[in-house]
Amino acid sequence: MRVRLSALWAAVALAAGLFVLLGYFVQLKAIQDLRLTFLHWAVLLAGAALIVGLVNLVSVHWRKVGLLEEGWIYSAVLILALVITLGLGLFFGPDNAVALFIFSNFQLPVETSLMALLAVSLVVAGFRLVSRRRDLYTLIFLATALFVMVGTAPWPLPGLGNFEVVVRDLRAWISQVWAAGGARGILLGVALGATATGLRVLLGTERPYGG
Amino acid sequence: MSEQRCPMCSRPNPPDARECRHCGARLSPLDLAGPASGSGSQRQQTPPEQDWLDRIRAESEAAGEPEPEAAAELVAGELPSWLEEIKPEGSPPEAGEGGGRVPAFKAGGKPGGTEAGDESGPPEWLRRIRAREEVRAQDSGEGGQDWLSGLRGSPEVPAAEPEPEEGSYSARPGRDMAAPKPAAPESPDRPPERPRERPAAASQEAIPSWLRQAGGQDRSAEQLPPSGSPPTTPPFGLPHVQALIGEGGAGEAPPGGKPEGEADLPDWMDAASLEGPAEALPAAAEGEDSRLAPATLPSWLEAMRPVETFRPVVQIQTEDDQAVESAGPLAGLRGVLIAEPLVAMPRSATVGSMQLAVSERQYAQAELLHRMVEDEERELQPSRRVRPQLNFIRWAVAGVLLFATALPVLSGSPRFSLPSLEPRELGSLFTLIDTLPAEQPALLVFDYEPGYSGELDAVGEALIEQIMVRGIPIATMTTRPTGSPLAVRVIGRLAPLHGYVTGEEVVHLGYLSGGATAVQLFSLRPREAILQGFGLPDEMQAAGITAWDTPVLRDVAALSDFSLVTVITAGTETARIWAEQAKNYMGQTPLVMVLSAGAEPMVRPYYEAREPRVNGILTGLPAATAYERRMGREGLAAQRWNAFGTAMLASEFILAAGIAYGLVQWWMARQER
Repeated sequence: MRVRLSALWAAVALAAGLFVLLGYFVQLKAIQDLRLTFLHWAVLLAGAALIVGLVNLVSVHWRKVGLLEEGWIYSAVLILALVITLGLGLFFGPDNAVALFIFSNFQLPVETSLMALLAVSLVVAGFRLVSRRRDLYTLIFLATALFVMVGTAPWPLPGLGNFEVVVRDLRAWISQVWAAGGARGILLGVALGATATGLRVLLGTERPYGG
Repeated sequence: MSEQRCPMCSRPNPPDARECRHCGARLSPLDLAGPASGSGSQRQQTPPEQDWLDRIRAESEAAGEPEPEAAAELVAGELPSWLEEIKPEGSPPEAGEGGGRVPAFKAGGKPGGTEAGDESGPPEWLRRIRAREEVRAQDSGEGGQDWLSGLRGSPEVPAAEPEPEEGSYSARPGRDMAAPKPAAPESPDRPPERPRERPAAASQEAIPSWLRQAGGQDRSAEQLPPSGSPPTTPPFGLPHVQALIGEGGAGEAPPGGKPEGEADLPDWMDAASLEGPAEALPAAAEGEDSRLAPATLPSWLEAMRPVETFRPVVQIQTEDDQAVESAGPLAGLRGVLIAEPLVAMPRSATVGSMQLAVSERQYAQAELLHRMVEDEERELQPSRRVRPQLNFIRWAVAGVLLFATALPVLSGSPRFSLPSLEPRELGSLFTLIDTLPAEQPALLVFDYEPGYSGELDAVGEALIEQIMVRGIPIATMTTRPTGSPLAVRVIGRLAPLHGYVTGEEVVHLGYLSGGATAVQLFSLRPREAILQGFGLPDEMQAAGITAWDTPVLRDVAALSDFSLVTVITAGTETARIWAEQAKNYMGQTPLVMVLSAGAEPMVRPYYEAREPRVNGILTGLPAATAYERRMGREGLAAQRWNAFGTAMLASEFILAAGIAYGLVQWWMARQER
């Protein structure tokens, strides 16, 4: 019975994938409608998964607060904030003024400050890099970063016009040739990996749904 | 040997120590008669019966009797009667089928006597045997048997007993005293298996008194004590037990009785004596090992034993090789169980034998396991609380960057000139926006996190402002939960500047959950993917008007109905999803990416492709500043340009200082070496 059920799950997944894939190539109304139905189901499942994740988050932090584990105070703050924003969203809608005020004056500054700390940490790491690891690759890395920054930032010496052009072109060459070349390789790898994974799922070789 | 090792703990001890000074174990086997006699062979060299024999001799000398050895030498080749009793009587193999083995009557007879014994002389069966032996001896006329004939002629010869083979049945010192000493040499051509006639008993005159005393009892055995009487006891205290005598045959045994003086045999001995024929007994004694199943140890016990200490198969030694007990009540017996425990016997040291045969890897793993167990048992010392130390470099860098960012905002200087050079793609993008149809709405996707708002708000506002300048209706949406407030915030800042009213020129569709699948669904059926909208005026919500019913989206049924789709994002994954999933359903609608500077390399391949899936990109604050400059307006990018410039300049100097500091450190270290 277990074998039959796993085969059933594999058949369902295979059929769903094939219908969605056929929708790219065959413009039949039945296939398009079926594809749309599957897409709707997927979006609904994604929303349900978000709710499940929310419940799991609350349960984990609630347990930490109940057991007074290390850092339980942060879990308590999280649960309190969650209850407040969730209540505001449910009762007054997500676009009410209080919710937007909380977002603009709490979440946005906090996350922006974290990005600012990241900038400071990166600069400190760059300062220490040569002292900690002194080899050719480190020097190349730092020199490249320095050239890109100089080419991006405002030019502090307006008198050196030709030199500014050279630096800007060097920056463009680094970012649009070397960096873009590497990015294309990454994208090709991602595409090949996605294709292989899709084929494995369609052939039933890989079953992320279990069975 | 300078020292002796303890058989228990294998530690060295002085050679004269009797007990181990480390563990207290006995260093030599227990010997009540004196010091340890060593191995069995050594015990045989010093017969244990010597002391009591000496005592008897001394008593005899005190009584005026001659030396027993001297008396024995008087009549060479003659043995006393008591010795005749214990010497096995032989009979030729053809004399009876039971020759050489314990006759059946021994097993079934009454203990301690026989019915054949009467007071008139030897029993009938014994006389018959003797007569037959005499006739046979006379017929054979073998050399070297004259003395036997003489002995046979003596009326005191009690019986002829078959002599067992050497090794299979030997007299035991202390019990069969004269047995090891043969009375006459054997003829070399005589077959070994042929039973020899026992020598005639010595005359009464030749027998010393002490032997007569002892032998008289034996001789009186011919008169056979009544059945059931206990065996007689010699004067020295040892009970007299007649040697096991193989009679001429089972048929000659008296029915239902045992010969005189025969001791009770255990059942196992009787059963063994009845197993084989007479010829098989010597062979069986020789090949005892092969007949007996070797004592094997079970596999689990075999695995536990020390490798070199014990043997897996216990070889049962022949009787001659077995040690003679030298002390205790079993003194003189051969093959008895050793009184000392086996571990106390001299053997090889157990230290070396306890070494397990393990490979280096197994040894390393065992060491690792041992260390882990020790670590588990070790009590952790309370770690000292490390006092937090201020990291000077980190704080200095943070201070420099904060100062560089705040200085232009607070003091208005330094001021950097706006970039005179602009990216190549900026001109085409500007033209693209400038040529968009004003009657179709533009879709703006705010797909970035609030942390990137410092950069992307400024970059995006440059493009959005141009759209608003063109008067193109705007619809916003997001695939991130925090995108809608960001859209409301940006649009709310620009809309008043250009007279845009929510619900009329601009509308927010809100959050689209579902990731890439939702983007595909939205590309196919936008109205089915997002139902209501976000941030509509209260009166619209009260009237039940959704975002799709507003003038902005009233004519939009598909993604291609938008005049422009602009994705503002800092993540390459989001940009890839929109370029790959949505572009196929956009028709001629251009797709523009407003990107963070870090995402540009991953999106640029879509823009620079032969069939581009991205029709325009706007990346970073310098490009946004250049875009605003092209528009002739000073937007958010221009406002942040000076702070951006000073912070970048400070970062460049810090990086350069770090590089210089590291190189100087390296150079100084090299100079010191």
